[in-house]
Amino acid sequence: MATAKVFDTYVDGLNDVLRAFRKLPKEASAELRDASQAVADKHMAPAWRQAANNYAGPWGQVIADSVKIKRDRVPAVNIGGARKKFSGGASPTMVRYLTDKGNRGRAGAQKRAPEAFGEGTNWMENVRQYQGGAMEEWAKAVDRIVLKWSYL
Amino acid sequence: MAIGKTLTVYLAADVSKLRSGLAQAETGLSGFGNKLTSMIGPALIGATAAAGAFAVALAVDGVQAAMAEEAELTKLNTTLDNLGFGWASEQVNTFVDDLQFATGVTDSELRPAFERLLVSTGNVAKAQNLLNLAVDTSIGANKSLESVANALGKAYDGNFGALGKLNAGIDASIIKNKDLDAAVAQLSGTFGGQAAAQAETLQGQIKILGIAFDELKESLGKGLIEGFTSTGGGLGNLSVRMRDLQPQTEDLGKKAGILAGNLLDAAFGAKSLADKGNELLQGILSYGGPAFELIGNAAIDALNPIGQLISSLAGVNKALNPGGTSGGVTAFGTGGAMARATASMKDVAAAAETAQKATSSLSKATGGASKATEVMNPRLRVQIDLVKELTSKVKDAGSALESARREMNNWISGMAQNILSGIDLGTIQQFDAEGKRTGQSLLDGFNKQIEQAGIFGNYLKQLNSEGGPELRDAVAALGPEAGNKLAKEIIDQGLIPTMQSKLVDVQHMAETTAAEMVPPMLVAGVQSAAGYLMTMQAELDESTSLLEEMGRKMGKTLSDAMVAEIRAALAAAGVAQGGATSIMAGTAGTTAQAASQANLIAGSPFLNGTAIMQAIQNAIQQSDQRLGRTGQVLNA
Repeated sequence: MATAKVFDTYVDGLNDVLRAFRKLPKEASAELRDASQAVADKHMAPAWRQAANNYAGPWGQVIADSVKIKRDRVPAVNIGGARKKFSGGASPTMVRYLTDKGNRGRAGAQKRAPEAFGEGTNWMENVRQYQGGAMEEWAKAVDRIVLKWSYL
Repeated sequence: MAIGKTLTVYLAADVSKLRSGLAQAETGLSGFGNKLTSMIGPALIGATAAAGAFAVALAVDGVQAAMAEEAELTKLNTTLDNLGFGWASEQVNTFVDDLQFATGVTDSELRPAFERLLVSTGNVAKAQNLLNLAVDTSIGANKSLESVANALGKAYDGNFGALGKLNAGIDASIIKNKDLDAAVAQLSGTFGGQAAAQAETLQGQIKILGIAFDELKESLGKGLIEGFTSTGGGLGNLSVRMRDLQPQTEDLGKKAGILAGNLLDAAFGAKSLADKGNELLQGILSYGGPAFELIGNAAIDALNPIGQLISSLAGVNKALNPGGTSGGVTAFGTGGAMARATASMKDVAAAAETAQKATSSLSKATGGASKATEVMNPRLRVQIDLVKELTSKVKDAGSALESARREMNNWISGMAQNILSGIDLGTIQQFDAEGKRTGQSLLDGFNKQIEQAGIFGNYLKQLNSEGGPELRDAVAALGPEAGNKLAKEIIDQGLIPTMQSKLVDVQHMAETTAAEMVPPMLVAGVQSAAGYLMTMQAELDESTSLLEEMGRKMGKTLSDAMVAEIRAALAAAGVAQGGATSIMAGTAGTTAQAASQANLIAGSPFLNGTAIMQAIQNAIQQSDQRLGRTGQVLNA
């Protein structure tokens, strides 16, 4: 599945931290994935779903339904999907970008953006309120797991 | 955000991903900026691990810097002594220190230059004047300070060749006539005030902030070295006093991180005051907007006392920027300005382009920046005062974190003891009551005990996950033998939720009852403890001067983790201290390793327990392998 990645936060040394997890028992990484999933489930997914529902126009519900929690060591969600969900055959992925950027994006510049999307609502750039709580929770989980597995 | 692909939003990524996109913009920032980037991450990795690890990293850098400075100072002081100016060493050091902050030229450059000029002039005052001129000339003529000082020194000795080769616009006749006064006058006329003007530019201010940060690190390292080497006298007394204050000042490494964070705020606040700097900042912020916003949010949310501090800092900054022009500290502290910046965020490519353009034009922006820095200087002063004020404010955060860590260590220690309580070589039955062999070898008996410990641990995990901590702790307190039987019964009969619920109720009842029965003497004890804490607080307040020295002495009060790390660093540098070196073998190369090691060492009372646990786990695994088991829960 082709994916595009975006990141909410840039953390110096994060790669080192994740790399160091390899030196801990496998259970530590599994626990980190569990914790990350929980954080994504609690903070990220609801925020993205709500934003899609509220600001992505008539396509919002389908986009919101496409928000899935990814199992990874860092909390993450997938938004979109390739399956056809609209009557015309469009998939959530096809409409996601257009609801956000509309004709201001590349599709607009190439005259390929349907007029129905207008200028878009920029909704994806405003879904960041969860970051403080999510990052706090995840950072605590990292601390807890590192501390725990460096003892046990 | 590409079209036609499923989008994955990650909460966090390594800053290298940001760097890769912003490489050019990053190089536009001076060294201080780069140092700042390296601080951003650890502040986000949470309270226990990263703060400690960052403090360790800072301290290691600090030790190295302090050792280098010590060597430079020794060299200069020896020269002063040899020339009969030993009495002036303190004055010279103050002069160099002041000059570096006034000009943005580091003391590492100034000291050798001063030494060179002193050798030629044989006069401290003349050497100081010539050093001022050399700094002006080096900046104005774009030459290294070393070459200018060398040329001036040679000219003072009568050799004007090097001065002529500087191409600093000195008349050939002056060179030919070897007229030093005229040469000095001409250089002063041409380049006088260059250093001061340079220092007032945006780049100059950032450079000075960089020096301030380096000095902070040096101070930290100096304190650590002195902490290891001082044996008495004034320093010893101070050390004793600092030890007395340790309960309040533990985890100063974390505070150092906060101090550095303040400098970060200052740097960005300073940049935001200059139009071009602001443009650059906005470019970067709009690119990594969410990240920077989160720095403020995470600091506030994750570490409440520190968050309050940042909030207060943001408030002060807001007061300093009534026009709301700053995108720096306010943005970091409250996210308000950042929210606006984020809202106006363009796509990544456009933002990166803006940042790059801003970077390229930054160097041309000295005019506007100079005006801005006139306003900025008093603000920097306020910032310095804020840093001082910080010491008391972060105290609460440090002690809160420390107590949380201690609590967790205690818990881990207690739980490990519970699990291990069944390990007792004395109870292994090799002989029956009549003294005949039972057929069980010592090793077999020990393996059984180990096995019981492993099973017990698994039971406790299950009770914890399906029930709760109350049930887990209650069973853990029984030890492996009785605990395994009880746990098996509870699990087999499906009683975990019921037992947990009843246990919570009965504990609540017991606590309520116990609270009602607290004897008066205990209440008095609590009051006494509160009084003691207040006395300590008063003592801390009285020790303001000591706390001001903490920057220099803070190493003495750092946690054991840092001490161990520094010992390793010192040992690596040839200043072997012994002791913890073996524990720290293999210096931590990553944040997590550092955090892990820091925690291990910080919890050194539990180190033996940890080692035992690891050994037992290994033994369990080996035993499992021998018996072909897969580590599943076994019936007792």
